[in-house]
Amino acid sequence: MVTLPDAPDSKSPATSSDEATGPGRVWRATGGTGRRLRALTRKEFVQLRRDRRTVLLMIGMPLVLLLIFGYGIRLSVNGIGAELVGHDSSFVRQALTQHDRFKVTSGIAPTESAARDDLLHGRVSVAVMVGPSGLPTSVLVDGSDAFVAQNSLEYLRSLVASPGANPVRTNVLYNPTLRSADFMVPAEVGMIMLWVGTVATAIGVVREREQGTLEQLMMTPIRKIELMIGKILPYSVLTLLDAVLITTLGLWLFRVPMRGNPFELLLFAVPYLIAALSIGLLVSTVAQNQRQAMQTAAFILLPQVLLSGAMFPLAAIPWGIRWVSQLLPLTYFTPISRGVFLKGLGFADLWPQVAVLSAMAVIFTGLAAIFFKSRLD
Amino acid sequence: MELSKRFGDVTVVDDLTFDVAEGEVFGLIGPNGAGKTTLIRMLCGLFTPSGGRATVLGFDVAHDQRRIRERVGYMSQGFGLYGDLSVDENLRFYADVYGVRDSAYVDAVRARLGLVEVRHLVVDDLPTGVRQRSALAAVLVHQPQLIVLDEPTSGVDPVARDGMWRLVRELAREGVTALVTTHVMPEAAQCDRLALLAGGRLVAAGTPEDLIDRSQLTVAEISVSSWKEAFARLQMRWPSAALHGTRIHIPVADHSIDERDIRHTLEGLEVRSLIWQSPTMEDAFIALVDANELAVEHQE
Repeated sequence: MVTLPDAPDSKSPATSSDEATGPGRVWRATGGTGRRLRALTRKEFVQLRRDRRTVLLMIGMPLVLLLIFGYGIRLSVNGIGAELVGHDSSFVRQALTQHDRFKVTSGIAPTESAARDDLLHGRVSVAVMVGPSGLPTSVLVDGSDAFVAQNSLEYLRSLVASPGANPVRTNVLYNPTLRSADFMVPAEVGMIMLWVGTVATAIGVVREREQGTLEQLMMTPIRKIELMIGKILPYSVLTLLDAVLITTLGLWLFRVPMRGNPFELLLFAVPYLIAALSIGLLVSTVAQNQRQAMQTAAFILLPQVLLSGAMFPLAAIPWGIRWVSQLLPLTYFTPISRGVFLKGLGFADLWPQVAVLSAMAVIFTGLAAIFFKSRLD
Repeated sequence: MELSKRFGDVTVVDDLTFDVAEGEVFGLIGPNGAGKTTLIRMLCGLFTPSGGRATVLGFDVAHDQRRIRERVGYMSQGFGLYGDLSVDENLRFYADVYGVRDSAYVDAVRARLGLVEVRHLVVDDLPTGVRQRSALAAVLVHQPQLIVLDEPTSGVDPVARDGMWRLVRELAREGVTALVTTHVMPEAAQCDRLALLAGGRLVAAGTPEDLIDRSQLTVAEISVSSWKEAFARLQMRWPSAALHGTRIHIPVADHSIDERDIRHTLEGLEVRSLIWQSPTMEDAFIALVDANELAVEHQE
């Protein structure tokens, strides 16, 4: 049995008010959850404002990614090196250079073996055999760059198969010029929210553990669930601001269309970002320090980006690991984002994805609450 | 069954019993790993006891953890301040967390701890002593009835340490009970009463004078011409011999060593003085912990 001094009720309450710094005997009813959450949130924002590294992480990195995705990454390839083999043909030359898709060398390769040598050494990626009639007979394509090969084949097939035949009329909808930015920027909004939400939240908690303030907070009237919400609230605001920033820059810098309602998109983003932040909280329960938190977060985020359909189509993901995609929040947010940006879709069309994300938000938050609680005990 | 805490198979706090009176400065001393920190975390309601009962301010630590936390001010070893916030921002944060609405009171605490001039400075930029005072201020903003200080003076210079203790004593006179852990023995002597923990057990409890008496020690203090040589010889015979400056202390249980033994050991050296002293807190501490270890080994 250990006894520290008796209950306050058994003593006469102090009545002197002039003794300003004396021990309190009359206990105020302590402020409620709202007051503590406000204190936690305000503290978090002050800290964020002082922490240049985090600000850089939050603002700088999304910007760099936006520029890379917007300017750097091209999903369609122009200027593929090509040459004619055997005979020259202005018809073939014209067909190839029509859409700047190919850049044709001025000379021609005398034989097929000469052309193969050019392909081997990377001087060209495509060689078109031309018959004496000036019509293409067959095509060699360098398959070592699958991306270039895919882009070339699609076009070359129609060229070789049906010279003179009526081409099939194709209409590309929603992104008629197949611009990469239109395709990438909506997906990037999702990727950035995931990155910022997860990493910032994880670091926000782990930093408190490193500083020793987490231990201190545990000794105050703050409940664990309040502490959790006290992290989720400020970082939600931050993540949403980032989403708005990326969207605005995407619309302005890259002229990405916004055919749907941007506020609706923001609304759909809420369950998604809660799921992302909960992942961050889960990361914080296993990471001892900020570096570990970053590494763990990167370990979780990379497969998300690759397997969610944000960069590569879902259809390209083999069946064996397709189920992993089904578990990733980004898999559901990407069609929402692209749907609103490019197709002008709304809740009536996107509710299944929104529903899955909401369920994920609930499940992940629940898991985070359980792990968060037990980790602090 | 007395208060205990087990983590898995490891018993960290074992069968403790003690009482602390209101307005008392109560010290928990003991070597590292004695269970001091676990004990105070349990008393603050962070851990639930595995066995036994403890009441803090009349509340059971197993059931009224939140009520205890509202009334206790806890200062951790790392001070628990946000290093990137200013003193004022930290104080405001903790005041809000505890639901303190009276900003005049927070101002008074800040003034009392001499933090007015540094109020806008970021905590990381402050010297350790000021940081520690700020931490104490943060602990006091909600007028706790009990303050729990875990190694409050680690890494703090002697002047700041002294100031800290004066404050703790002052608060105690005003009725704030203090539970302090330390392994700095001169500090332990500042407490009204002490509990000595080792291996999670209570080895001894009482006033500092009690503990010194309980150790049943006297100390031979020897001043000798070539102290290095003398110390080597003495330590060979009495491993507990210790250097205090150039003087040598040999703690002796119940006058079990004869003065002639010592002089004999130092033959050929010039003994300037050999006097018998009462032991310091540190001597008593070491003797009590050693005795406890012997007793535990004996039991097993």
